[in-house]
Amino acid sequence: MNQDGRLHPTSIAIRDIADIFGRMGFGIAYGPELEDDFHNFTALNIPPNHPARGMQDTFWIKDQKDYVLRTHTTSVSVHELEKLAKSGGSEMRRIMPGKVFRNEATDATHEAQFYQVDGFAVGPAGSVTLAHLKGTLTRFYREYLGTDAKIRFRPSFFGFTEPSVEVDVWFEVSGKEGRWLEVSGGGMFHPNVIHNAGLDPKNIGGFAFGGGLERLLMVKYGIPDVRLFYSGDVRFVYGFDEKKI
Amino acid sequence: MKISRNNLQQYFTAPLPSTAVIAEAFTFHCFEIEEVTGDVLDIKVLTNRTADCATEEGIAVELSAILNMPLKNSPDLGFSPTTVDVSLERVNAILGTNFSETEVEDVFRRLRFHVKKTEHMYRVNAPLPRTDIEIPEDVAEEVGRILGYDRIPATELPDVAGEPDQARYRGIERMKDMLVAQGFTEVSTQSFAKNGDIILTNPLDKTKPALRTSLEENLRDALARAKQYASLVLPPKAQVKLFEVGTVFPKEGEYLELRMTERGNAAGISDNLSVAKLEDYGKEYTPKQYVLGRYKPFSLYPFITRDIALWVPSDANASFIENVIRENAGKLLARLDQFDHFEKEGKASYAFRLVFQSMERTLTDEEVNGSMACITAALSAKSYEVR
Repeated sequence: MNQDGRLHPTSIAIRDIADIFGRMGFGIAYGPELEDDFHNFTALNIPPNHPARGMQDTFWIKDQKDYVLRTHTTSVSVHELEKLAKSGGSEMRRIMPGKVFRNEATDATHEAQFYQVDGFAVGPAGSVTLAHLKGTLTRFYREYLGTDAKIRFRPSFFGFTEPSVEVDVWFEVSGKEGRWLEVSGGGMFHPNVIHNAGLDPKNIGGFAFGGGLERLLMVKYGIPDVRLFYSGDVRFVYGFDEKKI
Repeated sequence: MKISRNNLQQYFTAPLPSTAVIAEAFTFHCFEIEEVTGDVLDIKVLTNRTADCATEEGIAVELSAILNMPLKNSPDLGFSPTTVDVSLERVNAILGTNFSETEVEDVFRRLRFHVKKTEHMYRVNAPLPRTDIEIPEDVAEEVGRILGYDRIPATELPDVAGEPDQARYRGIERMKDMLVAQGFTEVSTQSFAKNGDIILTNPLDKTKPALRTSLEENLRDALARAKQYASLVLPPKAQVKLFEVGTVFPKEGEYLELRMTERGNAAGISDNLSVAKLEDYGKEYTPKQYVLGRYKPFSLYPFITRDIALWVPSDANASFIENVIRENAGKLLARLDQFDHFEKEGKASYAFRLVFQSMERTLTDEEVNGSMACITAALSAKSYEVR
């Protein structure tokens, strides 16, 4: 009896996300999970002793003090911007799905390893704005969560963006009252990040955003415990009715 | 930082709005509020604002700017030696807005910025405690948050020429689709391991201080568990086959490994996807997409399987028989599969596997025997011959 197997829900989600962003001109990029300090922190305008380092619970590597387990896939942005600098281009749009690591106690809503989807769009100075971030994310969440979805920005601080915002999405699960959910952070690339990647911030700028994937799926599908994702348990993978599009 | 509305009121002559309104003003124009208890706000000061918002007075100064309410006694804060030159056009180009000169200048006034206006430029010096105002982007952020991010329009990016580069991703997903079509199920496991070449300085789980050098151990373990639960997720004759795509960290350097269980046994065959030419393989491929329903939690209790075989007239309908079984099995029936069918001498034989499981407790054989007796009785009443 030959019957199809199943994809893990993380793969299914990344395909949905890649499809929506693909239609908005975003390519997909990957980078190392064992990352050097420069790409994970310093290039992102988080130099040694910067307070933002304390905000992320980093796993450090024995005998390799310049390496960390990446704390975000924002590190991949730097690699991609470096490629843009080398190619002499002035425009790039990418999303970067991948596993990231945070040294924090695990429970039903916290995992030390989880997926993040970061993204950015850069173009000639002044051509990509914070309003474009709002437009891009509004379209994404509407397509992904439903036409009722809407987003709002709140002030925040990340070393690698200025201005920086938290992104909340209004989300309604059928039969339940709608609510605001904090889904990602974002903002305009700090000029230092553009500079550190070998580009001139006078000529190039743009927005960046990123957020955890599981949290979004937990709300979308009603998954009660984040630890199910990487348990290697087939009962989780088969816990959904599945329909091929 | 905890601060009450009453304490804040001391800095203002006019009455402050309610605690709820103040909390909302902070949330959308400045900081997150962790908690409101009575009239006490627990404010989470952002790390770039610890210099000016470390004190009650600092918070009051910020609130005065947000609410556009004058302070009782205007503090002499001095001015930062850092001068930021920024134009109205630049502020609007960063934010994607159309804010007017009047609006932006009003923000500067509310924030107590020292501003010298030339024909094309504002020369801005923030109050001395505002160590975070260093570049034009910082000033744009002040304008955006004080006027309100709800005033930023949602503008879609212009179209770009050509197809975006998703070739490598498509190559990886094509590999996965190929395996799924061959009956393999994807699992995802932890990157931490007991042994490995890369050791963490600060592991979370002391028994797993290393990074995995291969997916083998996790996949073998996942397979052993999957075999245990196979009856719950797969039809009776299907073989459990698993695969994982994940990063591994041998001393030669990390790479993306694809590993699949070989003939359902050893966690055997693997491939290095970091060296495979996946861009060419994926370039023209569109990964399959699926709609998933809401998640249905699985039971933590053991399950019991029973098979039933019966003779029926050759024109009997299999789905009708399944319905009879379902209707009489009770709500403990977790899964029902037909696994055999043949015809002989004008009669048809069907065999079904039933899986019983409770979400609340361990089932007993007696309970399941009861359900099976009900099913048998119902089938016999239809003149089917249960063997």
